[in-house]
Amino acid sequence: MLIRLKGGRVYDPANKINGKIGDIYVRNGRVVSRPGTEKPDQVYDLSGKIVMAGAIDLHSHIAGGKLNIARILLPEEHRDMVEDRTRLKRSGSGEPTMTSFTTGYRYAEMGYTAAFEPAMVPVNARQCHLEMADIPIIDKGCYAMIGNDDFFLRMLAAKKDKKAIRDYVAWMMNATGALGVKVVNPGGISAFKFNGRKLDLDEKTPHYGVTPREVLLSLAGALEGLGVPHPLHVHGCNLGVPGNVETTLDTIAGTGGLPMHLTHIQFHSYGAEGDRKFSSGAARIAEAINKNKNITADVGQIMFGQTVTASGDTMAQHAHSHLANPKKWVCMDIDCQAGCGLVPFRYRDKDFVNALQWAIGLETFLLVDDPWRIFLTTDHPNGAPFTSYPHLIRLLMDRSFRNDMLATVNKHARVASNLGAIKREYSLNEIAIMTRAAPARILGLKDRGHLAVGAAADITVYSEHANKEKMFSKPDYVFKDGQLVARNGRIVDVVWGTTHVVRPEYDSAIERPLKTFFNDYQGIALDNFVVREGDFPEDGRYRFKAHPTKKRRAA
Amino acid sequence: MTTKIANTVRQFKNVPCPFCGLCCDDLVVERNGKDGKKLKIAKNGCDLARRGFEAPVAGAVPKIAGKKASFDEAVAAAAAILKNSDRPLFSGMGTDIEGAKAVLQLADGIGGVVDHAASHALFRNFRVMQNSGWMTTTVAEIRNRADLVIFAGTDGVSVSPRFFEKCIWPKKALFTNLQKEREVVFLGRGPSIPSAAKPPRGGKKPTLISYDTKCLAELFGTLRALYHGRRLDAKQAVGVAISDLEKLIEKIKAARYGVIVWASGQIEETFGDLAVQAIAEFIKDINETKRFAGFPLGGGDNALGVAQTCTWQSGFPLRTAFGEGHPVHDPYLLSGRRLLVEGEADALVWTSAFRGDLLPPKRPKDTPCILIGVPGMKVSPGADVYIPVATPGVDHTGSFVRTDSVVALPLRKLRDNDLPSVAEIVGAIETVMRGGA
Ligand code: SF4
Ligand SMILES: [Zn+2]
Repeated sequence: MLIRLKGGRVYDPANKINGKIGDIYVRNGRVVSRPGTEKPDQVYDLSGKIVMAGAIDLHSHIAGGKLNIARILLPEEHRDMVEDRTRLKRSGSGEPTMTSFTTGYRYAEMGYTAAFEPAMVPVNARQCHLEMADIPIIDKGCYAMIGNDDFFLRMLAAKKDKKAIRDYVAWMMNATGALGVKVVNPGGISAFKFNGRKLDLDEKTPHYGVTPREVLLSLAGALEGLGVPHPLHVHGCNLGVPGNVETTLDTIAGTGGLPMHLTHIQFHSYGAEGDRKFSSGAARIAEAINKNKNITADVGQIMFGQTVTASGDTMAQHAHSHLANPKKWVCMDIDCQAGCGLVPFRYRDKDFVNALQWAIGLETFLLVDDPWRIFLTTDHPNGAPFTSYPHLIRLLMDRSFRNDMLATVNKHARVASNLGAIKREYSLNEIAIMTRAAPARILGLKDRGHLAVGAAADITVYSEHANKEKMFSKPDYVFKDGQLVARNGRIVDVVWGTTHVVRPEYDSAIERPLKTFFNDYQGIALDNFVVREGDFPEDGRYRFKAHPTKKRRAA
Repeated sequence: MTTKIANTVRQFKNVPCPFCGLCCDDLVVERNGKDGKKLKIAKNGCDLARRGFEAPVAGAVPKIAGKKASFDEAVAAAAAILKNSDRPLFSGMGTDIEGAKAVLQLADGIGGVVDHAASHALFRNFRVMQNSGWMTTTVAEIRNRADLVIFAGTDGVSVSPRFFEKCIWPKKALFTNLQKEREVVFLGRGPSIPSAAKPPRGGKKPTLISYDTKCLAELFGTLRALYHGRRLDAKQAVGVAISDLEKLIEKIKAARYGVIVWASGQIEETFGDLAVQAIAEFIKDINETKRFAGFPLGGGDNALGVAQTCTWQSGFPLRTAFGEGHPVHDPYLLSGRRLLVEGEADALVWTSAFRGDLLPPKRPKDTPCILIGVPGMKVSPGADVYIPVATPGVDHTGSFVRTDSVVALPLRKLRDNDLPSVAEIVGAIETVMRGGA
């Protein structure tokens, strides 16, 4: 079937199209070139409308064991927010810890066609894929958590060569079906298991005696060497600790030019100045990002309201557990690989710290010059549920609205923040970069995030509106792989997306020490740890697409 | 699922065992007999596993009201019962994740209630998560790290016969000297299979502290008070000399990474969740300054895998009703057992794909029962519809979640069996119901 999307104003920054009026043709799920005389089967008249590729969320906790723990922890959230089943849709509940089906519907309704789970614990990978198979419509994928696993830390402590580390990382990505690799509090989750409560960038971990910096450089180097498109996804040291801006700057300075993606950087941009020993480090962070072209970041914006923080960082989560609201929380040490901590949280606009956190996130968005290197996230659900993206986009695009909101928050925070003085307003083209073109590029998804001929027909059509929150909440049309799935913010069809993976090559010699380790210590067989596509039912919900690695750098 | 097994394949290694929540995955299983359906455990495993893998494949005929029927007839009869039901209960739920997904889809579509046979035990834990949270750990952490393991009201082995072999006394550990450092304390009774819990040569002998086993919550309340240095006037509490408890507190204070194992299904007091909570709060207190963790033992019949699936789909871990068009949860009122006893469910779909002795609970005579059970399952009074089902991990592939609710393991197909899986049976019922709508 040939579809013509006629006369919309197209924002396709990957192809340098900035608001040009034009047609897009779609056939068999792909964007195709203008056909000769063939008449389209279907024509959508999009005059006056805005056309972009489907949006991509590169950091959103949408699947995996920790999210389920958060759901169990918060029955009240799920009682209060329910989703009815319909002829098309399955029922569901919750918002910060939204259920699987609802997650797919809500993303698609907002014009998002892909979201990536950033914290897949390797031993939990199978469950993660089983759960993602219940997220309809959108594409998905996950980053395997490495860097606190005993096998890796042993290798690092034993000063194994770069090739061995590369082989391990590549093997792990293959074994878990990952698109990237994330490190969370490098060495710190392991340290917490040895009763370490704090770990600075150059501090040696208990037992292994390696430093977070060594972990970071080793993993970032391995990914670069393997040619994995997405650079190391870094949740740095000292999350949430006042003064951690120094650690973050130090991390950026010490990358030696290796690409790194610093995630939810808002939580890592805190100064310790002022009467309350809490201040904004956003300007310094933004300056460092502007200067260091090898660095990308997503913000992890907070929004006021109830949510739950879900993180692999047991060290930080345990330290913050006294802030739990409601007063209940879970921490877990996980199987020689990782950990997880769930702490419910209510961000309050009248609270100094929360209000400043809100401002720090926005400052970061506005002070980083290059929209190709800063990404729109709330670290769902840690800063806020992803459903607040339209509101966040309005804050970025509309200065007077932003200042109105600023006027309502804690007044000491208002004074402590520079936000009111920042004039910048994001343009539609910049929004299209940060939510489409840039995430696709940094994840190595060549045929997503843009609208050139050959691209997947993930397309979102908006009506221009002065109120950008309105505009981005309910797109007129959302196409997933060429199929109309949502109309005016309502699901009209349910399809099943693709799981994106990268399968870098490795020397299978790494399997020998791994087999021994699994046998002796892990207590499960290597063979059963590895997630294979054939382990899952052939019901069309487990479609994996392996993306190529970049050309390997000479070893 | 449909791939056939070559006749020449007669032995399987690293077979995951779905017959208790530990899901050991080191079994060697052999296939014998002319039809290649007879299985035998050649290495590793335990009595429970043997009963599971070596169960005979007999009596695999669908029945309607006790009379033999074809699969299609049985499916149609099941669909008819469900059509007439306003509030069917789906329980038992001994199935793989794939089967659980199929049941949840049907229950969501027709407004059923979903629970698991083990939910009484599960909810003692879930209630604590819903109320106050906890700090827990997993099998490999205990195995490599624990220097003190306290069994609170369970012996471990009566839940998972190989728990000590896999978790407490492996051959090697990363961070603990198994001989010199690891120590086991039993609160309650000693191990029911002493040989299965025996420390290795040179290992420390376990300590046994008997207490009034109906007072686990009080025992931990007392321990907590002692830990915080409170002086108690009494000489004993819940049947234990305070001096013995003080000795235990010394051990706890000396431990680097202590673990408290409990099995919520074996807690003897009525409000078992309060006992779990007392343990969980004690562990949180200890973690103010040092490391300690809890370990909930259980998870047979894939209880955790089914609960996880229900949680990511509905937001709630079982005891969830879909009759209002969206998930509604009540940890007490929607207990499957209660609904049946009170006559608040008007049909029962009971699934047991792992074993023949997971029987449906008592129910009023006029509540029809659809039994999706392993071959030869005997229920009394008989089920209105019986559909024999294949066993995941024996007859077909599937997914299972271990008792620590983190590690999901793949279940393997070891033989060709014509029996349909839970997912296939429930899918067939759903298709009939849709077609007739
Ligand atoms: S302990 Fe449990 S999982 Fe292990 S072999 Fe026995 S029944 Fe199977
Ligand atoms: Zn995150």
